[in-house]
Amino acid sequence: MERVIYTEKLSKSFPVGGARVQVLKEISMEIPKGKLTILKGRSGSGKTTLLNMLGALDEPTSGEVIFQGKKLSRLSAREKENLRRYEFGFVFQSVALIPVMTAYENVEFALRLGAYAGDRDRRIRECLQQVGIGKRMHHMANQLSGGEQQRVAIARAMAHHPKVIFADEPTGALDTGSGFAVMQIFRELTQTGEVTIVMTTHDPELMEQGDVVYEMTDGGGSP
Amino acid sequence: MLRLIMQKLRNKKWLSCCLFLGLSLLAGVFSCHPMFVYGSGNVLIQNELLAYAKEQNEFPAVLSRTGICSTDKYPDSESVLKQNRKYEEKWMEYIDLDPVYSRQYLGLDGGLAAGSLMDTKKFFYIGMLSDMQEHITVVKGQGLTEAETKEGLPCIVSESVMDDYGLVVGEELTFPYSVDAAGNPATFVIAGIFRENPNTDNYWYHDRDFYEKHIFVSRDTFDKLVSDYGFSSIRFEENLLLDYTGIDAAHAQEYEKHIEGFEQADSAFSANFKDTLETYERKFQSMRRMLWALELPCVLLLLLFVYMVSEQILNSEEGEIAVLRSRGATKRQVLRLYIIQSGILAAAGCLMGILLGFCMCRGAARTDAFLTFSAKDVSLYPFTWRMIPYAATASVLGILFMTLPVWRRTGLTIVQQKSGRGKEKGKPVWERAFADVILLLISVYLLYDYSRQSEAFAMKMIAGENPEPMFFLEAPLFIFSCSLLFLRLVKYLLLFLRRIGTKKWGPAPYAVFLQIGRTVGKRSILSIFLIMTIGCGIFDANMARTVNENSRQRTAYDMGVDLRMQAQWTRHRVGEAVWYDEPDFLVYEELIEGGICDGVTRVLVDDEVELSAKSRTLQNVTMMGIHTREFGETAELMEGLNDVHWFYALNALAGEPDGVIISRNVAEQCNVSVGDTISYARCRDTSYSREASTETTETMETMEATVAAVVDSFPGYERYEYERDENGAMVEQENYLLVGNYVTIVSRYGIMPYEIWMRLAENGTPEAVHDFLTERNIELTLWSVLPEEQDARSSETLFQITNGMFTMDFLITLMICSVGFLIYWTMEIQGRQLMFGVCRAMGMHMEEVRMMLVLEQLLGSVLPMGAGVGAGALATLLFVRVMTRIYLPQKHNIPIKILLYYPDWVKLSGVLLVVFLVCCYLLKRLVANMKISRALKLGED
Repeated sequence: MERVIYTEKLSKSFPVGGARVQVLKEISMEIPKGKLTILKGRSGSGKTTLLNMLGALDEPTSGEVIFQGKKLSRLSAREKENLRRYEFGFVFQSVALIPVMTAYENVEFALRLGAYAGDRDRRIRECLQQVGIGKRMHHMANQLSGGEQQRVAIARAMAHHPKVIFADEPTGALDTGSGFAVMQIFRELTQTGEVTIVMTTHDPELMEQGDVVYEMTDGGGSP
Repeated sequence: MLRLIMQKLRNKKWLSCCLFLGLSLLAGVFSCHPMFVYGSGNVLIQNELLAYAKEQNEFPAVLSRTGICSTDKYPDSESVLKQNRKYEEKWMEYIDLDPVYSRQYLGLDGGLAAGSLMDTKKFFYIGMLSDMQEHITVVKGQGLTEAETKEGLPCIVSESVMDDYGLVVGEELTFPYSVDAAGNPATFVIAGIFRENPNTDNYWYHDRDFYEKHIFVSRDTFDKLVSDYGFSSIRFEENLLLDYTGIDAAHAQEYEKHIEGFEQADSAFSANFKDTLETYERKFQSMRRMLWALELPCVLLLLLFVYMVSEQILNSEEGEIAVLRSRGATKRQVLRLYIIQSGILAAAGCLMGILLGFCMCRGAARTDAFLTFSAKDVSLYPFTWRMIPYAATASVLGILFMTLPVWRRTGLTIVQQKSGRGKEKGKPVWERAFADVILLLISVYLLYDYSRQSEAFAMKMIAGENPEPMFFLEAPLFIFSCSLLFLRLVKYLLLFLRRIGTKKWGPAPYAVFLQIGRTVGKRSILSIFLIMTIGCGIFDANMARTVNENSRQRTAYDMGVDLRMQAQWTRHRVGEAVWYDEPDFLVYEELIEGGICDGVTRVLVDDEVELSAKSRTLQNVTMMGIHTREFGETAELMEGLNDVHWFYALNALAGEPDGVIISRNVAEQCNVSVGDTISYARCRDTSYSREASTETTETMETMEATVAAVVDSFPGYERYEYERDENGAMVEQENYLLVGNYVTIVSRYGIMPYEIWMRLAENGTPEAVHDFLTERNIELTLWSVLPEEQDARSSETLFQITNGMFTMDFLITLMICSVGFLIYWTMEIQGRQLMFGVCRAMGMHMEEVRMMLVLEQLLGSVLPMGAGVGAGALATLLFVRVMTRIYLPQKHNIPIKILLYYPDWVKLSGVLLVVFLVCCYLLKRLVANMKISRALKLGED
């Protein structure tokens, strides 16, 4: 399987008081292209930390993250920002839509950020239709239910055709039905093989939906 | 619970400090009020008393008994004096002011007397004054204590009586109708001529004219007259002069009541300061209301500040409140928690506020003009216990405004809080009710109404009434309505800006337009705050500057020069002939040689001249006799008051020895112009009749003159004057001006007392001139210095209050605006950490985030600041001219000019710009130090 991102002995520790807490311990793993990879583990196992490393949101204490042959540690801050802007998409547990914008405008914001060259309006409608929010696209973010907001967040994450979408506990704040709906969207996105999705979860039922599952225990990961 | 509260305050220490600041300032402003009111009252009563003294030329605080007692009951002077002393002791029991002097006058109606050297009999009073000898200078002959006459009873007369009646030392005065038992008429011998000690001696508290037609005798002589010459009654006047500097606002009303009581109990009693106290009381009450009106905008801004900071705190504690409620805490319990928390802060603020209030009051009292302080004596503004309940009231109000936001939030359940359903939706009530438009219309209507009645209000002000306090609220109301209108219109402006560049805006401007445009309501309090602060600040600054500058200009115009003085002239009179000894004028040239003055000139001023032209006669003409060149080098006149420079008029006068300059109203009234002939005449020296209280005048010889020039304004020419008519109403009187060559006038009318006008050199001071005069023993009858006149004007109560309050309001609002601005934006950005984290996570560059912050500041803060400048400028143009008439109600040659003092705008904007830049810097650092992963985690938390 072609890999889009892989790590080499990735480690991360945080200073707590006078000591250092080792959150990730020399993790070496691969994220296959065009697949849904799930990082599973209980709370505190380091899955969000690992996701942040992979998404260039944070820097490792040691080790490497390599995306499409490029070591992230060698990239400047601006290059990492560009990476996140054009190549990656993010879905957060807290949804984190911009509250003063409508669903349409939240997606449009992502397209402006990504300097989308095509027909912005068409792309926005397409994404929102795909996630099932077509009829409520002009509603404000806080007028949508939790599940609907998360779907808009997914539309925002995918609008600019990213190569990788990182989703941190995307169903954590949702009910079961909404959670499955989100997973359904992820499955549809990976069907083309152009989008790779990496997500974290501690829900055992969702893990079965992933193509690749890594289990995180005490800072280490194993498939 | 206390521990929880202290923990909460510690957790939000900066916000708590801001709240403490707001509460302290609120308590300070409130507690400053009584101290400033009573201090201003002290100044007001002193000014009223001094104005009385100047107007009436008598000591301003005198308790008197006047009457006539029968010699049957009071056979000698001692019995009368003893009776009067008893009354004095009674008065002192109630009015605890230090006595300055107690003076007793006893008099007998002498009657017509024949003088050994007089042609005709003249009427004389016979008087006795206690301790007279210590207050006179015997200029000829002997005083009463050493007088010895071989025949006749010794008496002394004043110089003015000597002049009037042509008496000499040694002359005998015989009263044929006052005879002793043997039928001998009372005969007096003038033993001496005396001069009253100078005006500074309080003993002579009455005007000199009071003592005309008097001969004065010793006490022994007086008793002898009463016992031997059958006088049936003794007139008495007892005057107890009180230390008026001890009359303060706290006791004035009490003294007034006691005086009324004395009047009711004793028909002979009078107090010359009763009317002054009544006028003062009326003005004092009006001034209290006016002070509240001046302080109200600042108080409201402070309450708004307290509310805004509390809102910020509660925005971040909404979840906590909802959790408490969901755990079973009742609304009352939650409210109690916050009331106690607010109470702690308010109590601390109250204590600090009293101290601040004291400093604010003393600071406000030291203002000479807007934002200008001097080292004035402010002992008339003492600490008063009344400050404490005022500070406590402010604290209670503060608690109310701090807990108002809590009340709304206690109604939210945790579910509602989470879903954000507690937020207000839709347009606010004021917007739906068009409150902005209504308030704007009201304020404009009030302005129109006042403008329509401005003449009537001006006359009321001239009559001594204080202005309606509501006038001072019109401009803040206008600015407030502008702020609401701004909130209504800014949404459309932002929408327009967003739409015109919608295809081109990058992510940062796109997000900012939406953020700012859709949170106008959330930022409404901050926007109103900014607009009110800046708008009212600019208006207050312009108002105060306009009033002060116009007042200074008018005073300078009225004076006409830096210094005006008149030396004591010796007058001689024989029969109808009067002449003067002119003091040496050349001595003043030493002032120019010594570098103290740049110019010194003689100016003859006579305000009782009649002018006739083309069958029209004008009274109230002020004549000035000048040396044109010296006058031009010495006097001062503002540019632009005449069609051409006033030097042209002087040149025209110089070219025509018999020429005159006349004022425009003379030309219009008499239909004359340059080249026409007019005639004018001075009035003969007046004589004052004490019985009739009238002056009698007669016109002297008429002079003809050619009109050399017509002017609208001239140095020292006050065109309008105001006085009361018989009914007590204030009427406007127009004065006319006639300026002639000094030499021509003197050649016709003879040498007469003139004023000396001086222009001070750059390093010259009035004190140097005064020292010069003192060294040469030059006594003065007039001394007027321009800076002192201007300072006296600015020390008038109305000016003092306005300058003090506007300065204080300006500084306070500047402070709270800066602090409020900083905390609002800091809280706002901290509350949006997740959003910034998401933006950064999505790949937004740091400079784009900074651009967002700057754009938000520009649209969210600088735009309202600009609106504030606009509102303040508009309020200035609409209201300042009209309101300045409250302070300068008299019509004047100088029209009111609005002063836009841009350095004040720069100061105000500069401070806010600095705050804005500091805010931008702090926010940038806040965002720069933010770790994306931590921001996202915060959001999840």
